Amino acid sequence: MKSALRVMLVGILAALGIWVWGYFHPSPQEAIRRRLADVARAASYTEPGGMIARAVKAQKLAGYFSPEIAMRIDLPDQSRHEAASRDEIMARAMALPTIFRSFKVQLLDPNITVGADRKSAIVDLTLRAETPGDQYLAVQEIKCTMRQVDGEWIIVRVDTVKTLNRAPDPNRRETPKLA
Amino acid sequence: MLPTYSGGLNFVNRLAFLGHGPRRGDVVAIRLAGESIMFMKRVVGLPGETVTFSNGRLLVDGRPQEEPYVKFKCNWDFVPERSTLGEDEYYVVGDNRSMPHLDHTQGAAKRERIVGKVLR
Repeated sequence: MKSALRVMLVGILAALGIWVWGYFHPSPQEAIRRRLADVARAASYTEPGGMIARAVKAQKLAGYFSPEIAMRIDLPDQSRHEAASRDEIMARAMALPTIFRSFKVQLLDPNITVGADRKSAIVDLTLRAETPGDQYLAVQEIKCTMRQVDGEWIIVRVDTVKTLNRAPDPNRRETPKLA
Repeated sequence: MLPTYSGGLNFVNRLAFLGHGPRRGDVVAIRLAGESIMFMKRVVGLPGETVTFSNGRLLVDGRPQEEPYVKFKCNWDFVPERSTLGEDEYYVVGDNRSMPHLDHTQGAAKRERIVGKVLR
């Protein structure tokens, strides 16, 4: 009986040890998932807050991106959002609370492809941004290129994915001939 | 997809296209990066066909199509980007065409993105 208890105890300790090891040494996929959850949290807010609080939050958000970030997101409402530096991301994050009192960002369904070097990754995901009461709502599939720098995954590039390609071309408006 | 569907809970038959591909007129669910959020659209163009809109009417290979499900008049008049569909592409569009065509999410969906047929 005692030996059975010992075996059980050793088994439980081993499982706990593996879980603790996995938590502190996540796979690249798991580390990226956690990172994206952090990015979504940093980009969301429930109240505008004061200038200092906004600046701290904006700086935290910008820290998830590379200093040479190349971001270009085309939303379905024809608006384009570009950023080429952390400063631009910070400026946008600071300005947003002056437009919306609260803002919620979700980064859904990340499909992560880790590079052979295990230091870079491509992540295809769905961005969902909303304000209370759907005053503003955007849903867009995007592709993020990420790189591991000093043990942390940062976003170096963000591109728009056209889920439905061959959408109306705003430059071609000629009338087709009726058969 | 107004007025055919007006929000709420919708069910998708994932087995609908096991024996055959989507057909014209089918309302389908289209995934984005995953299935947390999906578009609900109607298939109006099949692989190899050319889709255009003229004076508010849908043309497939130049022939006007009857669309009884479109209740709101529209004045769409455009040629989609590279309007002829590829081998595994379906042109999908919503039933609510009362808005400007550039504000309406539509276009060619790859077969792999079509999750199933939306049930009424």
